[in-house]
Amino acid sequence: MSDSSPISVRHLTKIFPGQPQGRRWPALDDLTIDVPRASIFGLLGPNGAGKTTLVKLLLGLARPSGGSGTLLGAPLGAVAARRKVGFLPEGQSFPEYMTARQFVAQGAALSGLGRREARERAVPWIEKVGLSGVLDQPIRTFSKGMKQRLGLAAALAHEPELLFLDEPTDGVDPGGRREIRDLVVGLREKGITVFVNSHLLGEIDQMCDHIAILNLGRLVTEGPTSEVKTKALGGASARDRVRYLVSSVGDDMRPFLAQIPGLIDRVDPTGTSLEVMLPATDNAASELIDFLRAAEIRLRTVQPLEASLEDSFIALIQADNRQRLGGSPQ
Amino acid sequence: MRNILLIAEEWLRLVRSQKSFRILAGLSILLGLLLAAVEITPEEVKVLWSFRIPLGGTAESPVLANEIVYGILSFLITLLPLITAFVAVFTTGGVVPEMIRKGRLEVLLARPVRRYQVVLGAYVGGLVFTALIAGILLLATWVGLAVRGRFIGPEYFLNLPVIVAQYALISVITVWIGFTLRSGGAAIVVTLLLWFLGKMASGAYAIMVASKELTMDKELEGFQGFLAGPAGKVVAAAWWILPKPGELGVLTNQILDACLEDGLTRRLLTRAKQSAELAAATPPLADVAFSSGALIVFLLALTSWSLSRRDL
Repeated sequence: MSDSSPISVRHLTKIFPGQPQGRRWPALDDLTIDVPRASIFGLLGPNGAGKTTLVKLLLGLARPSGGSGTLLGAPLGAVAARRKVGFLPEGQSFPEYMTARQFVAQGAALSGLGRREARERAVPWIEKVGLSGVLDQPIRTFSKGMKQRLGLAAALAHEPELLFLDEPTDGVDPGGRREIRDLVVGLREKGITVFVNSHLLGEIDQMCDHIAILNLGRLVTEGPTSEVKTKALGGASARDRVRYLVSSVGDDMRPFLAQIPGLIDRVDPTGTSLEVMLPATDNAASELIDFLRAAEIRLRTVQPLEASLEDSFIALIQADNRQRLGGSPQ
Repeated sequence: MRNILLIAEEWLRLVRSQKSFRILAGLSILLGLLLAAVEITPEEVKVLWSFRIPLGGTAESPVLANEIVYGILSFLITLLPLITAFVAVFTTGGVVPEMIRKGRLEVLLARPVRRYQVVLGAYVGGLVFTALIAGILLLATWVGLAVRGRFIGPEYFLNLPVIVAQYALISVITVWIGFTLRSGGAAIVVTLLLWFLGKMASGAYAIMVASKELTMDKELEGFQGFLAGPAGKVVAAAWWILPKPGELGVLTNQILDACLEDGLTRRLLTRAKQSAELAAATPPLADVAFSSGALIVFLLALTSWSLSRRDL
């Protein structure tokens, strides 16, 4: 196992005894993964992929059926390692009778801080998540978004080395989402490793530098975000290609399609816009522009395109389903 | 230990946030005020300063007055602890399921908290709550009596550990069922059911113990014979296994005696003597303490073990 990884698991498997009838696969199947230190690691997967199960195994909330792993260098389930771990679960249930200050301070104290220190550290974190005005108000008066921010403050007040976030912006307004994203990115800069589990692919795309995709309990792919996105475009060879959007000022490019360098991926009905896959070389784009100019096409833009995470995710999951289930729909 | 106290503190906050806590505290103070409003003399019962109910007694013959005083003190010392424990079970029964509901226990256990600490924290929180509510009750009634010049000895406050001990014995079932079934209703129903069965086993066992030392009435002889057979072994086993907070009544009788040491009438002395005889006929306190302690330890260990085996 990698000693430097805050999370490292080998052949981790979980089979629940009361698994739904007809389900043929384990909740988590032979998963091997290393999370780089000081990264924001996104875990993606459709419902039932095993994301929550993985988080529970890592936090010692469930016991693995097979395999092993370490959390901050300690075996999974070790209590001591959890001193340096923060956790914001999806659908957290809050003690409505407590105030924001009491809740965050109590969490920090349970994570090992002295009572006074816990009280002192609670306030700045509550302020950082934008709740300074409601420090001593009971939680029952909070909106869903406020509770989510409070949960984040409670997960951070003891200043963990590793933070688990399960749908961290659930119920938070767009402005709040950006604040939380900025806060999480700031944590990485402080050397904190963040493990994010979210359905919001756009958010994962913006925040995470590494991602892993699970499907039916198995790892489909993992790696740096840009690499995973490229992988979906056509396997290993796609790493060597760049997709460009070419648009003209009203000129139809269709008569030249067969001669345009690169692979034509998509053409709009008027022929004034198309997508081309070019080799990732220094002069590929120049050659394309030269050709189009020679064909007297008046160009509006030639811009490189990145595959969206959503496109990549869907492509990878569909390919995995075809391979494992013989194309049966999910 | 620190984590247990932190969890108990949260538990206490949860109970205190419930209306029933304020209602209980309010009723205790009301009872204190009622006691303060009534003055009992051999001649009359004086309510506040003007309303009087004649009793017809004299300083030399204060029979009725003493009966009333004895009734009040008996209620305060022997019945009130059981009522408090009963009410505490209702108040705290739903707290464990609330505390471990989905999305709450996970957060707690994602911190460096061991599962047995959550169980012990909930249990200790219940004891502290009961001590708190019983403390308010005892203080209110003691002050209420003292306002009208009827001082009772400080031994009265020995009822506090007795109440807590009685609650400790039955709340362990509430905690066990609360963690196992995650249902407040089930926790309360099973607790009361086992309490009732324990009470029945205690009654039968007391007859078994007494029949060895005392001469039984004619009508009890048949029952005595029945208990001498295999049924007796079942009763004895049930007595050892089931919770029996009522057996701690031996202690409350002793407290009653101590409280009334000064100014006892002949009638009260007779009652105290009867209490002492009754105490002698009940099973030894050491047996009660041992079986109760074993029940508490066993159920807490079982609850912790089953929680530690559970995937959340």
